[in-house]
Parts: sequence; C-alpha cells; structure tokens
Amino acid sequence: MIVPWGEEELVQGNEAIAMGAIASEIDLFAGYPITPSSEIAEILSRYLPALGKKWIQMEDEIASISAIIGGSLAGAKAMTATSGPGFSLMQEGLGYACMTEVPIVIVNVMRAGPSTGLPTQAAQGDVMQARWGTHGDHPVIAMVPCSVRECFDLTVRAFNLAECFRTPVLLLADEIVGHMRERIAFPGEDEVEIKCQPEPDVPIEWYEHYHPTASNVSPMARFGTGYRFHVTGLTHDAHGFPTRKVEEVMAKLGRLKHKITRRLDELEDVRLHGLEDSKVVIFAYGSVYRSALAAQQILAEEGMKVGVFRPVTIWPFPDVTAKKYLDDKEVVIVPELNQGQIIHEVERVTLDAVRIVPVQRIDGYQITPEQIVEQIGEVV
Amino acid sequence: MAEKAEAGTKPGKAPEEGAEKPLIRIYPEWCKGCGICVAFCPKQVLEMGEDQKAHVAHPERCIRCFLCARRCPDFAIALTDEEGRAVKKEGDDQ
Amino acid sequence: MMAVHLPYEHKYLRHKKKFPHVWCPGCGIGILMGSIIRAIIDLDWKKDDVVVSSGIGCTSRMPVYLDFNTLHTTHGRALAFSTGVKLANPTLKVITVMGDGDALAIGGNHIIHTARRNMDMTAIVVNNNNYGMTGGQFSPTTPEGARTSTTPYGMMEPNFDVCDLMSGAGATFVARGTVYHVMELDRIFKRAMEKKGFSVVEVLSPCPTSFGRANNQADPVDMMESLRDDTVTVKQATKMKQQDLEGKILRGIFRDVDVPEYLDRYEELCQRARERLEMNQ
Repeated sequence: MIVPWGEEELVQGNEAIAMGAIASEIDLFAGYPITPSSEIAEILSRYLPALGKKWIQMEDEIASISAIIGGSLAGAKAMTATSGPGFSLMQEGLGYACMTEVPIVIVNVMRAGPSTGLPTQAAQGDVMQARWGTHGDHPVIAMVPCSVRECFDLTVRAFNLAECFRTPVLLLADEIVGHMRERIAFPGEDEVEIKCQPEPDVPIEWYEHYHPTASNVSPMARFGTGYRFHVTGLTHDAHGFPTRKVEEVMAKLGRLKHKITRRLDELEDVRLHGLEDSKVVIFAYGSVYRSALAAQQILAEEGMKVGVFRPVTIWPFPDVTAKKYLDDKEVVIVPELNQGQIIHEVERVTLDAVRIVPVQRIDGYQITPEQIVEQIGEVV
Repeated sequence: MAEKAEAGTKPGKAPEEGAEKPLIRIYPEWCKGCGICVAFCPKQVLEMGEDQKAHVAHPERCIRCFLCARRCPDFAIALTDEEGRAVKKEGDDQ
Repeated sequence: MMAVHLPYEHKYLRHKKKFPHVWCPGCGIGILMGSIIRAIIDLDWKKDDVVVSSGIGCTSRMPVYLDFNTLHTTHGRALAFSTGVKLANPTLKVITVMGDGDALAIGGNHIIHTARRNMDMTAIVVNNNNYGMTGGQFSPTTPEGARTSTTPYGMMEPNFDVCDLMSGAGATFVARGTVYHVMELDRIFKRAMEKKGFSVVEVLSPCPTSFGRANNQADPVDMMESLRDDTVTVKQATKMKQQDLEGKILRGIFRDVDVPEYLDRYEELCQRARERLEMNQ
C-alpha cells in the first residue's frame, strides 16, 4: 500500500531510503532532524504510525542511536538517519552496538564538513569516520548507494546484513544521492527477500547470548521472550557477563573480528566495467561513480579504453578483488569528494608499480566527468 | 554461595541455654562488616564479632521487624521459620 | 542440622553471578536493590516482563545481579535505551537505575525529555552525592562546601534539587526516599512502578568509601545516621516550625498526577494516521 511495488515513480533518494526501510518491515525509527537527511524522518513519520510501527524524534542523535539499540534488543527492526555532525555524536553508541552485537541500521547522508561545513552540499568526508570513528577495534559494514534505486535496494540489504551479522550496518549516502530525484522502477514485492535474525532454538537454561559458533554469529533472543540475558558494553563472556579473563576477552574480540573477516565473500559487492583490456582504471564510489562512468564513455568515444571499479560495500574494503583487477594496471584514478580517504586503501592493496592519482573536490559540488577525463589526459 | 551459616552463637562461645531455634541466619561469606544491622537493630540482637562480621548475640530479643535483613546491603541476613525457610515479613502484602 | 535457606529476595538474584556483590561495605545500592526486588514481588510482576537498564557507574552494576532482562548501557543514556525498549515492546515493565552523575550530569538531557514525554517507565536516581566508581569526583548534587576528589577546597558550585527538576520537566510521579528508611522505600518503589507514566524516585544513599571518607564520615553507620537525622517526611514537615526545617531534606511523594501516557497517545496517533491515509487512498 505504501511501497509502490513493481511501479515506476519519480522518487527522491531520501524517500527511497524511507521506502526501503518500510519494505524491510522496520518496526522502529528514532532520529533527530539534520540536513540533508531529514526527509527520511519526515516521510517515515507520515507512514509508520499508520502501519502501527513506532516512530520517535529523540532529544539528540546520541538518544536516537541509544533508542534504536534498546528497540532492537526488545525485538524491533530499527533504524536511524543522520548526517556528519549527528554521525559524530553517534559514535559511542555505534561502538556499543558492535560490542553487544545488536542489529541496527544507521543512514548517514553525508554533507560537506568538517563541523557545520556546507550543510546542504555533498561530500564523502565521513568514509574513514565510518571505519574508525568509534574507539577501539570493531566490525564495520558500510555500503555506498550511487542512485535512487540503490537507496531503496541497499537499505533493504542493510537491514538484512544487520540481522544476519548481528551488527550495526551503515548506509553512506551523500547529499546528492539523498536529495536528487530519479524515475525508478520499484521491484516486485516477491523479488525482495527480507531476512531476520534466527530465533534461538535451545531451552532457556542453555541459552547463551553470545554462543560460540563457526560463523561467530549466534541466534539472538530478545527481551521479554522468556530468555532472560544480560547486555553490557563491558567485555563479556558467552553469557554476556562482564569478564577480564584473557581467554574470554580474546574469544569475544576474536568473534567480533572474524564475524566479518571470515565472511568477506557474503559482504563484497563491486561493479566492474571494462577492466580486462584497459591500462587505466577509475576507482570511484557513491555519486562520483556516475561521473566515472560518463568519463569512461567520453574517453571510449575518443578511442581510449578506461576501466571503472566501484565498491558498493566500502567497508570491509574489497582487498582481494581490488588487488586482482588493479595490480596489472598502470594508473588508477581515484576521484573523491574529500581530500583523499579511500585512496589510502587503494594504495595499501595495490603494488607500488601501480600509479595512484587522486581527483579531489571539496567545494560541495560534484566532480564532473570532464575533470576526470582531464586528469587522465595529464597522466597518460 | 554461602556454605555455612553461623547460627545464634558467637564464634568460640557455646550457645546460651534456652536459645530458641535459630530464626536469624547471617552468612559470613557475604557479610562485609559494615555494621549497619548491628547499629540499627532496635533490640540490639546483633553484635560485631572479632572477625568483623555480624553475629546474632541475643536471638531471644528479636522482634522480627526485618530491619536488619532489609538494611543489609549484601543480602547476608535471612529471617527464617522453624524449618529454617526464609520468610517474608508478615503483613507485607497489605 | 537444618538446611540453610537464603533470604526470599535471592530468588530474583542471578546465581551465576559472583556474590558478595561489587559494592563497598556500607554502600546503600545493595539495600535499594533489595527494595526494588520486594516491590517487584509485591506487584507480582513476572521476571520475563521486567527490564532493568542502567548507564555507567556504581549503580549501573546492579542489573547484572538481577534475574530479569538486563541492560547495562552507555554513560548517561540509559533512559534513551529504555525508551527504545518500551517503544518496541510496550508490555515490558522498564526500570532504569542510575547514579546522580549518570542521570543528571551526562544524562541530564535525556532524563528531562524522558520525563516530558511521560512514557510508562520508572527511573531510580541513586544520589550519593558523587561519582563513586571513578574515585569520588563531585556531581550536580554534591552539597556546597563538600570535599570530593575534584573539589579539594570544598564544592564551589551550587547543586540542583532532583525532585524540583523532575517536577519541572513534567514527571508525573516524583518522590524521594533514603536507604535508611527502607520500609518506606519499599512502598515508594511499589507506588512508582505501578504508576502509569514516567515515575522518578531519588534515593539518598551513603557512599562511605569515596564521599564519606572525603567528608570525615567514613563509617557507614555515621552516614546512615545522617540519613535518619537530616531527613523528614513531607507530612512531618507540615507540623514542624520553620527553623527546625533548616537543612532538612524532605522525603516522600512530592508529585503524583495523572497525565496521558506516551504510548496511549501514540495509539491515538496511529488511529488518526490510518484514517488520514485511508482517506487519501
């Protein structure tokens, strides 16, 4: 009724994110107004009550992420949406959700920073914050949409991954993707698979909230279902009780790490274009990827073959695939709406022989295809 | 958990004659010797032992007001019935 | 030899957890934990329905000892977590325990908004006038002139009255008790928990190790005597002369009003939304 299944509509990115949340059977949205993500909260405030789901505007972003963690523990599929400044406030909560292995979705519609910056203009300046923003080592899953349709699809995938990996999942849109409108075809309802965290199937007395398993993810009970358990940000044992015993600490931290590093294939999501027979590759993500494709087109028409490599899942970084397709290249162009962030990952994984060339724009406007073409012209 | 319970007698001192069945149990493992129960028992039933633990010195004076059990921060005092089962304060559920 | 039986409150403690618990000798948090348990017993609440959450600090170590759904969150944010829990499953009975710093300093923004919203839950602010866990620093309730590890020359700043603050923020049930007056505390907790809406109870509690030692009251019994001698009930105060009330802290229920509860309002909102959307369809 609310999600226009199987229909073509002119839709804004933020609206597609809201529709993706509804399609994912979201139970609780808690957020705080911030440009350029407020439309997500506004749209959900119109539809969630009608669906009998919970919507709340909290007193700040710290309260927002705290509320969705609490909601998830009590059985709700929960999401919040914010932008840079709010995302900064959410970092402690993000770390808590990682440590306590609570599935939540956090949408960050990135705007030009730092600080108040250019609130209504786009940037990709929070990429490293998404990876290292909260203190301590912790798992991270982050995806970057480049279109309005992907805003819908990746929100659904974010909910699914959060449930399957029992961890927070980040959706790093930027102001351009969030605010632009595109005519998109919504998938049919049957084409969208909604996944849920499996219910525990052991008697109450045997239930361990962090039961060791091969996948490092165990079925998660929720408050009020008869499994009474303890949740704490303190390093804890399989029961969730605080511990400082070395082997239990190492087991917990290992679990948090390996739940991601041992399932990279399930998380990896890349788009590869013309990488086989090209010596120059454009490595781009998010809205910049669209300029990269246009630049590839311009150069193709001028008779020059250029490849494009795009990570949709940006964290964990696709080390193996990037190495495989970039190590035999002469030049990798890395256009970013920041002063160089993912470029360091590209440099880390590729051989020294590969020349990595940045194209950076931080004035709040999109990198144009011409800028990329011009940079390639200078280098080649 | 509390293995042994010290019932009605001071360490090293034989229980007085005619001491009724022990109705107050103090768990020395859990008692931290804060002294609150001893200080505020309205009938001075309890005393601090040399081991810095509370002990039942005069069980016969106990009026079963439950203040000691409820003011114990460490859940170390239980008032029991004849069979030793811990009981709630009568008239508690009014 | 008769078998040894535990106090009946023990049926609500987690036996996998190590007892004696972590709090210092004479600390009042254990006393009010017992009081919370007795209130839950009297209200006949089922263990599966009860959620006890907390922030960070000495008080925050309470939930782990309790055989309920328990949640030890981040410093100051327990009530925001509890709001999410209650929203997701309104049948849950949510109790949030916090220290004075956890609830009123870093948690100040959250407690006033949780009070304003009037969502059905109970907040317990254990006021021992300092941050015990981190070594006795001053908190928003530390009395003027008092010594703490961060006020070596005596507390310079004014403090605020928790109950006035909470009433001002719109809490529909506001009360103050002490761990000395434990029978009264049992009744206050029971009333606070069964009350529909946001209930907050400030509980004055001794901190012998940090605040006590810093203010030559290291002996738990001394601090308990202060709770006995420096507080009077609201009823007693009405019969006392003004100068006798000097320096006395009031105990009892200050506010107990009925205001539409958040989730009831939200149900009405859902109804309005359904009607509006059906009209548009």
